[in-house]
Amino acid sequence: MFLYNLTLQPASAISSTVLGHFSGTKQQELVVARGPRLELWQADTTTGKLSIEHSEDLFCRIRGLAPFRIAGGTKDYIALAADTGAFCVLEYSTKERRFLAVQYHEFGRTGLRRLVAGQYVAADPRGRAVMVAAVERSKIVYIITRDSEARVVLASPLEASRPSTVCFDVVAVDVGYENPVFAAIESSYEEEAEGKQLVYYELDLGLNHVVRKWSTEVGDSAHRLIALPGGGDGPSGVLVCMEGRIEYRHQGGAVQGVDMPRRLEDPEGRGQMVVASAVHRMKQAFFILAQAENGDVFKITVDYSDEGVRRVGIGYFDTLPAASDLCILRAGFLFAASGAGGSHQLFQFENLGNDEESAQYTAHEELESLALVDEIEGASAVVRAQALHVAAGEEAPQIYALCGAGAQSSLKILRHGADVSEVAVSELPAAPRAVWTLQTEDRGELIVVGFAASTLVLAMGDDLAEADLPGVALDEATLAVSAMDGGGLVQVTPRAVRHVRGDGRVTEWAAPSAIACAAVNARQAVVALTRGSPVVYFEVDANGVLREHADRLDVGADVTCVALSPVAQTRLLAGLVAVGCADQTVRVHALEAHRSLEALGLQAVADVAHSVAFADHGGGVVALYAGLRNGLLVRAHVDAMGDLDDARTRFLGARAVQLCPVASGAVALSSAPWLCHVMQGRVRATPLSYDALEWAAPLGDALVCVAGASLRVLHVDRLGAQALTCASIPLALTPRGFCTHPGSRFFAVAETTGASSLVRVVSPFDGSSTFVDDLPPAHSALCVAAVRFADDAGEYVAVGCAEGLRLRPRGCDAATIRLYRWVEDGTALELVHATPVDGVPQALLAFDGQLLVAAGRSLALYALGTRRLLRKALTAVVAPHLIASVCAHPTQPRWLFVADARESVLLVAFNAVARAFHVVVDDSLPRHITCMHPLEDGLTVVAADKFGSLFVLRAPEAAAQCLDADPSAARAAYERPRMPGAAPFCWRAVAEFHVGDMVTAIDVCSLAPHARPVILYATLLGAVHVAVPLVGQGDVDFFTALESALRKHCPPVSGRDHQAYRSAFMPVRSVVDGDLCESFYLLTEEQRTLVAGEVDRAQMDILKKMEDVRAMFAF
Amino acid sequence: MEKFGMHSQTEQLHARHIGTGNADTTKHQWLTNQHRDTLAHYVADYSMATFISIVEGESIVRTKFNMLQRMRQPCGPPPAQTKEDN
Repeated sequence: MFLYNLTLQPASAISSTVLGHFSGTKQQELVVARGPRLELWQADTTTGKLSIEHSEDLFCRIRGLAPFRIAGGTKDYIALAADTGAFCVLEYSTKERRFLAVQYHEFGRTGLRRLVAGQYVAADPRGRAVMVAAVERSKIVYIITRDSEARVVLASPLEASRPSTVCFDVVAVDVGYENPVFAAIESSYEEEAEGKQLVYYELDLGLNHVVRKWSTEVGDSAHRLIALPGGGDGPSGVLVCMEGRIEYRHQGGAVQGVDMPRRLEDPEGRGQMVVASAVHRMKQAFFILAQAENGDVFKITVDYSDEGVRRVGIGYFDTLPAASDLCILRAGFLFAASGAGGSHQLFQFENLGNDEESAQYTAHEELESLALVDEIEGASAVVRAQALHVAAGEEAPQIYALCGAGAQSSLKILRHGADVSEVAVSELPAAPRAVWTLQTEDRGELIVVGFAASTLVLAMGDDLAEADLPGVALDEATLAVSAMDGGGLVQVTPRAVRHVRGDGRVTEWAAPSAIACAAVNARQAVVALTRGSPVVYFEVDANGVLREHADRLDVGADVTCVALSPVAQTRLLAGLVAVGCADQTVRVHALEAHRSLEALGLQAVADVAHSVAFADHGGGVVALYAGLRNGLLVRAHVDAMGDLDDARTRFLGARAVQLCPVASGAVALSSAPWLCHVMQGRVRATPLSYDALEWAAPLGDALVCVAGASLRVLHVDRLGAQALTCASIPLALTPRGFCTHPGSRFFAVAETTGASSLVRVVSPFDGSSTFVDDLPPAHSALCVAAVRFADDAGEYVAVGCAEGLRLRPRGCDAATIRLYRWVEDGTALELVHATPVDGVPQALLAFDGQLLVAAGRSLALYALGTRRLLRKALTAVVAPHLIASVCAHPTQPRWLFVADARESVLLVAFNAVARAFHVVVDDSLPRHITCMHPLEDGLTVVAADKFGSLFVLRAPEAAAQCLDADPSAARAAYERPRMPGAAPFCWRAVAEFHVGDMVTAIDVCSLAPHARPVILYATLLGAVHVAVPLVGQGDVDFFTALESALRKHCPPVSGRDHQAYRSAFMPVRSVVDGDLCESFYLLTEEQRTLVAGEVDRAQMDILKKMEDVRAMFAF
Repeated sequence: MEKFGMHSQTEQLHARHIGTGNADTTKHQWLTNQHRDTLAHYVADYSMATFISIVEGESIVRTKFNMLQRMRQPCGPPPAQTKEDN
């Protein structure tokens, strides 16, 4: 087995965010770290829309970011703290449109280590120094200067380490232009008398050393520092956040503290911690927004004079979902990045709060000081996920993911596509056939709607209204229409080509036979006739008259569709015409005067072309698209001479494909709408998450589309940044597991937060909850499984519950299995009975007509009884430590896979005679399994561990033979083990790969109707990946060579060694990193040549190979 | 002199590489060091910290804070030294 690992959707959770001018323009931008990716986001200050400008995989664990600007510069740089054991300064290059490492200095070993700096990073506000600190002991300060060409230069690092000291937070104190000072919360574990301290480290620029300048004792719950503006803009110093209290501290200043206000309903109990904060500087003043754990945002004001801070005030501001970071943009926006919550939100300030400072408050039900303007949805903190075919009429499976924690929990439905927002919908009297837009000088953009035998002109104002356009034949059908250069328009009807001049005169060219299809642009028209010499070409002459060309084009077959190529910027006329013919070909002819309809290229296609379109993909790349009647889309590259090559085919849907050219590419409409466009150098076809459409035309940066008898104006949001769109169904508590009803496809979800739990039935179609059962107090629902019992036709759901659950050490007061029966056609549940069991139930499984319960180390089988479940078998010790999950075997009903929380996967067989479970295959490595999925052969399992590794384990041949001869493993279990306590056989790891994020769900499915099956997996932070099995040895050799060439010539910008990163815990084996391979798209021409030379392939071959893998397995 | 020089070098290495054991390392010291390494990893690994915070039902900030607090004495105070240990 050899796997090719691809990221379909990058992680959604943001671990850190910084604000600055990273492109060097006036606009403020955000740089966010999402898993291993660093992204540049922009917020449009007029529309309030967030856009993802750039996203790059750094192939490292990003732990912290700090922006800084060197003196006299206009551009912000990013100091990166990661697991690279190095200090790295990144710059966003506007020219290359990617991040570049401008400085890189190694100081320690790689990995997430306790004593190697990289956990905290803080930059002096004047950009003179950066401190990188570790969790314990190490603190390193770099002095930053500039050279004569304004490049960033690092001086050798200065150490400010203190042994046996745990560091809680580091910030840079704003001291103006005095010596840079960094503040840290520290706690020493050697000096027992010493409490937690706030320490100032001063970098003496004159003496070039760092001294521990000042320290003061702070409360034991101090966890966060907020630096205040200084150097003339404020009092300098820091706010120390403690549980429920905030104190101002500064060297030589008095302590000023304030208690955080409490909610009216929660006057007692532990105080809230500050999870995120942002300082906003205005001309003469500043304020701070700090968010508590429960999501309440407080506004902190500091009253100061020359003598120091007089008082610190705090008042309740508003309530947002708990964020991982807050950023206030100068244009009056607040960005709230989400960690485990899912969606990242941009708010606009409506007011700055009422400045009321009471000790108690009532949280707002709705936002009062902020207004939500944009939201980027993501599936973060994926707890469980599965790919299921639930939605009717969709050929590809959807990914159903249980996400989030506490109040931010949800069931997310992920599907391939781009988000579309509906701007306007207008119902029409009949179903239109087509729609075009006309750019007129005096009346803006007009919309021409073509019906079966008439035409309608609409104007887009506040609403769509009928407009008058003189000269247009409204009582005829329209085949094509376009505004002409210098005023006027050309309209092609089935009967004639009508040229409406700017002054209103109409000239008509009556067709000898009916016109089948036509294409027009601002100076040219091509019409294909149904009989006779088919294609007639028109061109505007010097007098502004549309004249028929002397020659006609006879292609020797019926013409089904025509298209004109885009007009190059330096030209007036389109150079090429494409003609789709009934003989299953698409031909390209020249339109230039001296070549007079000369045949240039020909592409044979699999069916008759229904429509053709050219698309300009930028950079001189022109593609010809042909939509076929059988639902295939063919894309061919058109070279400068008009030759067609490099044709690719993909299946879009069951309907003939209608193509409509738009600015960025082409819209292809089949049973679903698709958009063909270029993103980061790669041509992609992305389905739009919208109803089936019949026709589309560009309207500004939006699309006007025909859907049935209505006209819709649509806007495609954040095209290409995310391959999957996300629909969300809110839940109340942290989800623990789900199962579906086989008929109704409704979901039964078990949710638990703290001591409250519920079981819910939710419809995946409209998101409504049709049944909610609140569990008794102190009960925690832990696992859920759909089950059918032998001799009973009912469909059941079993929920494992624990009363008084304790996590460390694991235990409970009592445990039960609650059995529910599906009622009301699978839309509700009914409690049948609750059966007490021993130990905390960890996992449940329908097993051979009975219910399998895994509790602690044991497996037990239960049959259905009238009053309770009846125990039929029990094996007290199956797993060595604690069973984390169980999985049914794909072929054998009496075998199963058991995952131990620490000791890897076990293959277990049930001996029905002895009523005992026997472990047949175990592992020699202690793997902390989070999830697993068996492959179809039944002897291979894909599993993932807590440390972010994915691996494939296969049973040896001898185990297969032994189980064939002895399926209940009765004999194997009593043979002499290979060592005491071990199973007869041991897994072989056939593939190992470090993902860099905890994998929480694995599934095997086909992502498209004709695609081959892949291993699909989702990670905790919301990323979705596929591991594609490569079949031919040729492919394996090619991708291995490409990967190592890229490692050598274009290593990740973070400086982390790619191979070492992918081998963080176990050496990478039999897996090629497709994300690294696809970075080939982003390389410069020289780098590409270098890599292509090393691989000994043409660049085109490399691109085609990577695209083929995507087309064959994914999207 | 040579011998003493070597000794001081070893001492220095021991001080730099925390957790390097010697014949006098007690079980408590060894275990404390293991726990500190583990906790530091959990704090540094964003994915792991998120996972633990979801399991515990706390905010990720509090989870990280609790783990850092535990780093000071992860296995409790050192046991009183008995005569046998000396």
